Amino acid sequence: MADLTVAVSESAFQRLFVVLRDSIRWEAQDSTSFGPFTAGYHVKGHLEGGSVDFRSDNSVLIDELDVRWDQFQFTLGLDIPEICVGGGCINMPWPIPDICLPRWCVFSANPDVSISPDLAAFVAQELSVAGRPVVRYYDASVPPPLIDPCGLLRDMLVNASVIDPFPDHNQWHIHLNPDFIDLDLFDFADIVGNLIENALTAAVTALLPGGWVRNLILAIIGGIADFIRWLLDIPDEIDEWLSDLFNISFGLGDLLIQLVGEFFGACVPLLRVDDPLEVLAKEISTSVLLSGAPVELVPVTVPVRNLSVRVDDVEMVVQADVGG
Amino acid sequence: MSSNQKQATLNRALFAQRSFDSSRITVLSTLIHRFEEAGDFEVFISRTNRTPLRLLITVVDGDAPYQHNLDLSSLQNPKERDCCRDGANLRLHVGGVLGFFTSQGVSTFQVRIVRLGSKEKQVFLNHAEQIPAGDFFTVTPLRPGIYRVSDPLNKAEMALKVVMPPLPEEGKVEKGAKTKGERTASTYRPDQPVLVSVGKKGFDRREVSLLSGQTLVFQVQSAARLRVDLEKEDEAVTAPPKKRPDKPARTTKQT
Repeated sequence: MADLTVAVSESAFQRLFVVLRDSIRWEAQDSTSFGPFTAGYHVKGHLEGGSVDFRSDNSVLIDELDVRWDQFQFTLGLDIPEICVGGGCINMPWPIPDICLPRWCVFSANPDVSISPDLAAFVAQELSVAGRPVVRYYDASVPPPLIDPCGLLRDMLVNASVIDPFPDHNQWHIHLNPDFIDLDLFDFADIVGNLIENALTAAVTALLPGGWVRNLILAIIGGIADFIRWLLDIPDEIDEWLSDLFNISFGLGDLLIQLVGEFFGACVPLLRVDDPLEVLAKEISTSVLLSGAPVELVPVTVPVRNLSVRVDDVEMVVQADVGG
Repeated sequence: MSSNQKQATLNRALFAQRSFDSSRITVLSTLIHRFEEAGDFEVFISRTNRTPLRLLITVVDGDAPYQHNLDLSSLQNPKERDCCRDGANLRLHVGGVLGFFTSQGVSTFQVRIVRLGSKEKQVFLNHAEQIPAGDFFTVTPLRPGIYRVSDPLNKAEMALKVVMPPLPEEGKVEKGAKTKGERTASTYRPDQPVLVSVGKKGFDRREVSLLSGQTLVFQVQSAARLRVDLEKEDEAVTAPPKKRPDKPARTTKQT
């Protein structure tokens, strides 16, 4: 039978979780070239909401976490190809060779068009995490790894006074090791597609002169909307294309899942238990000697062994043996 | 929402061109000379107020291309020009053609070709005077309207009507109407030239109609001096539109 048993209720765990949840913030940016166009993003976000549910199979479900985007800047750059007149070849009868004619291009260089809308207001996602509590032992005598993926995140949280720094003595750490993390796919509404299409159309239109010259260029490129779709290689709706871009090409969702997984599973423990555990603190006492002279009493610590954790549908129970 | 763009200069000379003359090469016109005999040739290209540029052409009955097109506006700059680097001669197959055009700017050029190797300089082409039989001259008018085409040497005249291509209907394409990476079929293609021959009996037709940006090629069968002048500008002249199918109403996405 264990010497030490501590139970944490669901509501207490919820409060514990909220502190950690509020400390999760991320910022990421990336860009990729797709030949005639480049696409990139610069995002910042955090988590809100979420309910904790202890389950009888020794797991914890954190459901309906709202992914809030403080910034969701999407950059799309088009390298507009040559727009030319003339050209083509004429087939001539033998012995005259077929003659190919020069082309004259409307712009001296290929113009670039770029837009950077912030789509934060249009992106809403939910995240759910289910995991099992696991116990890991922190040995303070082992130097940290040369490349510590958690180091930067932990330092940030320590500096923000969200968590205490890892101590110079050993500890038992209880993490929530995710079994699965479910994140809604990026799904952009029609309005976002229209927003981007309008911005691109305006940017391309600004390049074109007016009057009959404009009409001629429009006839050559087949209309701005079609031209843009052709450049972006979009067979269908822009909002669907945008969703594919973020879900597949950028894999921004995977990045987020990885961040949350590492946060709970490896970097930031939910609970910590010192080893040895201090049961009586250091104290200056004047009641030890008859003279009443102050005496420093050393702290009383006991080693903690065989710490284990389990969850049922009511509470999280931490048990350990105390003493050598 | 923010947007920015790299400014690219509009090739304005293209849209200012109202007349063409075979004695001067300007933007939207091309002189094409055919070399019917093998040998070495000197090409002098003179530009307004500039020292003529000299190129050597070797015409061989062997492994050589049948056509070169020289952009005269870049010939003065060895870094830009796409031929004749490092002093190497331009090689051409017998019967091949050499095209002279200028891609930008308002300069005019004149070309003179003489044959090397004979005691007397044999002038093969001096297009400032006339275009010899067997050569070609092309114009690519952009301004819509009625042009007068004339050849005083053959006492010939012809009307050229340039109309605007049909304007595309703005808006989204029909859902699923095209597959990835394909342009719509109704897109106007300016690269379909029209051939007209000019000889002692004049032009082989009385009137030609072109879409703006299409090229008219004159095949010179008897020495000619061609002029194409815009007589009546008419921006409203437009070819009948090619109508796209109406876009069906959007359906709700199935998840």
